[in-house]
Amino acid sequence: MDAARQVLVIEDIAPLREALAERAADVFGVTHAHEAGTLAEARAWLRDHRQVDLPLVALVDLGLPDGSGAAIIAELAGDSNATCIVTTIFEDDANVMRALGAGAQGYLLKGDDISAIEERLRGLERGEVPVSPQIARKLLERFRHPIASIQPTEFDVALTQRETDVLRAIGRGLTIAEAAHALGIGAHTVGTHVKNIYRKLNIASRAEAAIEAARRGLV
Amino acid sequence: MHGTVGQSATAQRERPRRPGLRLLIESHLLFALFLVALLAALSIPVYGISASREGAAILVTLQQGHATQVPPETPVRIAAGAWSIEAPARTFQSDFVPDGDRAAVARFYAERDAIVALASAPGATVTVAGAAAPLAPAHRRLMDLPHNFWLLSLQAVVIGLLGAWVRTSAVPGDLRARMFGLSCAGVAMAGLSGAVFDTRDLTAPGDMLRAMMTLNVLGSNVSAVALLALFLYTPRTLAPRWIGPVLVAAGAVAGVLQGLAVLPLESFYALLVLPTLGLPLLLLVQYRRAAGDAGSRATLRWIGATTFAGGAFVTIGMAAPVLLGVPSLGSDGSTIVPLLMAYGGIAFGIAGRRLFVLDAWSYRLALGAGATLALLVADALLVNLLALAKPVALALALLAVGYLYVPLRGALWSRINRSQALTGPELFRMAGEVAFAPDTAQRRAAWRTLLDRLYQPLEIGSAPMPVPVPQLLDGGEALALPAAAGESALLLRHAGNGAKLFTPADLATSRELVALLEGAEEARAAYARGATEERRRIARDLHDDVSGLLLTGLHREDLAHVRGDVQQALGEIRAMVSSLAGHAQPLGLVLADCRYEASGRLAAAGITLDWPPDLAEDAEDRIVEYARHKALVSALREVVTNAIRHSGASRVTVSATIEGDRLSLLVRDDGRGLVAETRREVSGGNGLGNLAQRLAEIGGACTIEPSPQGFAVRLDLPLAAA
Repeated sequence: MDAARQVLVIEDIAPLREALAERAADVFGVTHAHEAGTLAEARAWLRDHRQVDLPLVALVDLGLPDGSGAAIIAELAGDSNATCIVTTIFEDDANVMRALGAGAQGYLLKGDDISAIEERLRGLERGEVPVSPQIARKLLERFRHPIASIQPTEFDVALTQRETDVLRAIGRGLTIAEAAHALGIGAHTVGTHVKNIYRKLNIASRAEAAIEAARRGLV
Repeated sequence: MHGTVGQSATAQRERPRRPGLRLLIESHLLFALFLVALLAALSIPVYGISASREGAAILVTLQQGHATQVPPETPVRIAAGAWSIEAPARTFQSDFVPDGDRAAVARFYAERDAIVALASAPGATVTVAGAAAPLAPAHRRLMDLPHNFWLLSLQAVVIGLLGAWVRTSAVPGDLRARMFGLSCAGVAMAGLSGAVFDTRDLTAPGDMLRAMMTLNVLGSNVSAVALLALFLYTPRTLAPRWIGPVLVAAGAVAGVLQGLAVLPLESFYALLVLPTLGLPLLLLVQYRRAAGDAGSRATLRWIGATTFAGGAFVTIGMAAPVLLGVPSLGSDGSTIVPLLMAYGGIAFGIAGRRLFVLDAWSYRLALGAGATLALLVADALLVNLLALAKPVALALALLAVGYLYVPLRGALWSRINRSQALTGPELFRMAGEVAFAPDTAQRRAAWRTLLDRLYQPLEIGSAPMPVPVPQLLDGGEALALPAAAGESALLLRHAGNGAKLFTPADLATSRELVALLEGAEEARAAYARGATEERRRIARDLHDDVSGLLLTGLHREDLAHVRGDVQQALGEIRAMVSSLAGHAQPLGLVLADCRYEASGRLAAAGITLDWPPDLAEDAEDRIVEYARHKALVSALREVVTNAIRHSGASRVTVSATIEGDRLSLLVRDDGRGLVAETRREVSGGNGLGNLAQRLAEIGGACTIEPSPQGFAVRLDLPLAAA
């Protein structure tokens, strides 16, 4: 067992889970990636085996037998050492956006060839954050009309001009590298922008949820 | 209507009813009586001498325009030759009514006869307090009639007609209509006789005055007692049927005896006090008895308001000249407005016409009259208690009444109209709940809840007849609503828990509500249609695109090919569930997504993609319908799959041209070219063959282009609908 970091794969389809765990262990340089088939198993592992001083990479499926993986993502949002990657069959923006709002820092398409999946994992390891044109457009739309009750300065959820430019370029179908070239910045910088955008989406979503809860008298 | 009096008439034998003819006859009779009164008044000569009250004194105006102010008992002497007669100045006022015992009254009439005889003699003179004038009676013309004659005649004719209208339009034997008719006839009789009685200036024949006096007292008695009797039966029957006619007969007999001075005239005024005090009392009793009967209560409110407003008018007419210093409206003639208000109000009340409209006016009328009275009272208090000058007092009173009255009226008004407390947004929300309740039973329940909140009816039941639009029934007792929210036509009864009538405002609200529901239900149906349409599209896409691929995979031997089919099926599903699915999209967005997908897949396979980001001009502005962009995405995915699997290429180049409405995409690679295996797939109906077929379905084409190196395929498809 590698002491440098922990890897957890939460996926209910066993062959896929095993394939993902094998590749993830390889890419992230651990001898063994932990596996969980349900939310309950994942929570049990986190309770019993999570070492908070070690970095954690969690690959989280959304449609689990006992609930949505978004719950685990939200729970791990409090763990500053954890990185959540949502795994999804389709890049359908609604699910991915929900997972990103819950705190996921990236996503992985399970429908790709296993070699393509491995390539994506390596990209994530290098700091390349995936973002599809559809998601980029959705994000632009989301931040164009932040809900009125949130003061952007208060929560720091407004996008900067550069972040908006990045999303626009990707929305037009450009890859991260092409976007970086078009904007005259490094690919790594584009990745940082995208990470920041995801973080802001998470903050905005949590603030909205809090406001909504307060409005309904839950808090 | 509401009581039992009207229904008892059904026991009588059916008579052919011709209300129009009867009304015609009675109105002609009324005009004939008016003509008689007119002729009688014209028969009284004009002497040009009049007496009127001026404070405590009497102002006697002689022929030359000399006016002499004298104490009331000062004798006025009329002389002709050796004959002369003297009478107190006060008895010469035109509206003077003889008082005292029977002998005194007889003497008054005898004096008038004597004065008539003396004044017509040649050389007659009149003398008062040393001033004398010759007497020359002239023939009376129409313009010589005093304005009081016209006012009283008008009052008599109008109220007489009102009574005839109510009586002739009621069911025969309706005691209430009869009592009202008698009361109106009494007013007419008193009015016409009073008009003649008041016409004289110096004098008139004693017999005529006696007759007019008798008719006047008789009419007044009958009108007052019949009015009182009316409310023994309106709306509830409080006394046996015989009581009313007996009371009126007694009043009539008393009237004749009073008029002939057998009974003292003081008893006449005493009798008039009876209805004044008795009527409000009777109205209160009736109002209590009518609890739960909204229609009757509305009637009583209306009658109470009009009578109160009429009474207030009399008070104002008497008090205003004194308090505010405005000219008086005249003596007896000033009763015309209040009488018309009261009788008009009662006529509309018992005829039950459009009471649901009048009900709102009851409050306004009563509040308006109340405000005016309050103004006068405040003014009187300020003048008398604080000894303020009249204009100052009036201004202060106006201010006080304005400040107190307006908020008071607002508060009363909102209290009275409390059932309208359902505000617009709340109504809208509840209508939404009705329209969007999950099933019919819940929609029905929500609809009934809404109606209950809005009108608080005692009953909500099915309407026994078809109701095309909302309507008021039974004079506002019921509101009929058309079928809505899965519920059949409804009949709502007794608004405001039985305390109110449905009003035209309620009707308007219900119309809006029904229209709102219809709109919401249409929207719901449109939404359901949209959802069904979307479901159908997904089913069609699954059938056409996904199951074909899965079936192909099912029957293949080669695992690598099966994987390819499964991945392609996933790709199809992805296209189906993507946000672009089902809708027309700008070409630019579709190409951006294709480019992103292709670059990812090619990069994973180690192949460079050469696809300029702004591939096609005006791509953002060209809207492509779903079937077309779906075909384009599938075709490009297939071409990229082939390049990854078979070409062995290191670079894929995509270029495009748009000509008119056709998009032409050329995809080239630098690989092995069209090898035998791929060719077999093209002709075998899979891979590129499948692709060609799908493009053909939307009027497009897939052609393999000759290429010096590698493989080149041209995808050609229409953008706009054919």
